[in-house]
Amino acid sequence: MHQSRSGKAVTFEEQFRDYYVLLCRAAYYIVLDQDAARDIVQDFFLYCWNKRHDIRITRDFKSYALRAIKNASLRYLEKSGKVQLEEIKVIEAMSEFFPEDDGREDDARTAALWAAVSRMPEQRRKVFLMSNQEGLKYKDIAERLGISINTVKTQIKLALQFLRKECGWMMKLLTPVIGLIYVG
Amino acid sequence: MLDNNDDKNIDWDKVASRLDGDKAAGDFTSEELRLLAAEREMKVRLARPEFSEQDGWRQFSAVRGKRRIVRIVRLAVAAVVLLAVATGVWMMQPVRRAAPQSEQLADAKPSGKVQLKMGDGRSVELGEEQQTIQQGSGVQITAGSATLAYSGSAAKAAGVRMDTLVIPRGLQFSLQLSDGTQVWINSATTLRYPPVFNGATRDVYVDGEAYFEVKANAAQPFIVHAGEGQLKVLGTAFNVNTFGVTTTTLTSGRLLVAAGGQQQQLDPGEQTVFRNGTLGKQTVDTQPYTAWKDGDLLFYDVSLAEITRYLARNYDYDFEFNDTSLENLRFTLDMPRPANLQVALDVIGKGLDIGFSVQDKTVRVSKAGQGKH
Repeated sequence: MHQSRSGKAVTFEEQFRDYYVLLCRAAYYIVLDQDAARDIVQDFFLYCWNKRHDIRITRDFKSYALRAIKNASLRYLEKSGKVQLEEIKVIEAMSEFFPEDDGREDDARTAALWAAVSRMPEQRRKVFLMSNQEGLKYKDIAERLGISINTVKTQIKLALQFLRKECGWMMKLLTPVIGLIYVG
Repeated sequence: MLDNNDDKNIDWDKVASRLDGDKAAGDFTSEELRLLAAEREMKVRLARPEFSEQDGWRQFSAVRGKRRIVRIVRLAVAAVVLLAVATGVWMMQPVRRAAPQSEQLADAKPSGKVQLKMGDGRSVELGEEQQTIQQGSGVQITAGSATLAYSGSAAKAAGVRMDTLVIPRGLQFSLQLSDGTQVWINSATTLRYPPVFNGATRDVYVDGEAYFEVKANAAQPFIVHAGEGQLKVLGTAFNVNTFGVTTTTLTSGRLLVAAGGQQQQLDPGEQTVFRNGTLGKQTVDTQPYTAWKDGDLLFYDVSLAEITRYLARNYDYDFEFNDTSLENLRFTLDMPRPANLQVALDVIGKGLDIGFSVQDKTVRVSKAGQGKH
């Protein structure tokens, strides 16, 4: 039977609804493709559904599910052939820190990021969102806004510098792991 | 708190290029990697449209509905299956049969014969009788039903034509090459090699599964071509398996494995797996990978799908699953390879509480009590 954190039994649907968004975000963090992320999470729940009489999750469901989703996402990346092995290792290391444990804290951070984004000059914000939200190439952004690629690149750099200062919390913790991989 | 001095460790141009998909931008400092990680996190936090559990559940329900029919039957044996899944079941004793007389047993001999196709165009079927085959003036082959030995000298043998040994499903074979190298060949496997090695390297080709004990000769490296890879032998015993993903397991000596432009050096107890274009290396217990050449059936906590795939090759039987969920049951099997498949089926059936019914060369797998005649 499925166990909630408190040890109370929950229905399959409740469990699905509790974790779906979180797991999609975890998958998206790795594959950066929303449809792929949804497919990965759906496949995982189908697996759970088909196995619901045969498997018992002794640890809590969330950590099990996150591990499964991350592994599936990394496999997907590997298979896609778009990302080099070295980079997959880096992404894998980074994925240890996202999403973080506390859900409410997580929402607050998303809000803080949006607030910081909205404080940027208009063109910079536009360029940054077109790149990060719509996934457009610099070349396409340049065409759409009628500016040069160089300007796009400059705006991206300035946005990153700004957000790095404003949202320093996103930078923490990563050093030891990355260091291990690259030095050790 | 953020240390502003970190800025000097960041090449903003490079990071921006990488974010636009420029693969050439690499070799990042840890600061740059932190930045890339943070940028990735921003992408997730800014993602639009957001993921919706409502849509997710609706879609899930639709897909799940299609598969539901298959899974209606639930049996009382579930508890036993669960136990087997959770722990694996270790069976060492053959199980006594109490099957009705009318039931077919899986005890048929394999239908294929080992074939030796020679470089000169001749083809010989290896049967019970021992035979001696002469190739040109330099090479002599001594063939039994399960062994083959080459003797000859490179000086007298001409040309580089290859011999091909085809082992069908259900049979295993052992071969001694002209240099003294010993090769164990598993079922459904083809091995290609020259009768004598007179080139700069000793090259052989495997499609299937084989175990090598290579006679060392530093002047003439031994190279095994298997799947998409090449194994350069540095004095060695190892298993290579190209069924599914190409897997190479080293038991002694040293081995250089190359595949897809990558290279790994193996020490004993290590294994490479070439999967999706990546040559990965891991440390393993080599026994399960080599037990077959010592005449054992050895599986540690392996899915029934994988076990039956092996048995199908190894005994020349086909398996069909009535219920695909059975394929995922896991089992531990450790026994001398019996002459008849039926003995192994009895052990597995008893351990997992599942039934095997045999019709000619097909074994049907079902939950206990189902699918019997």
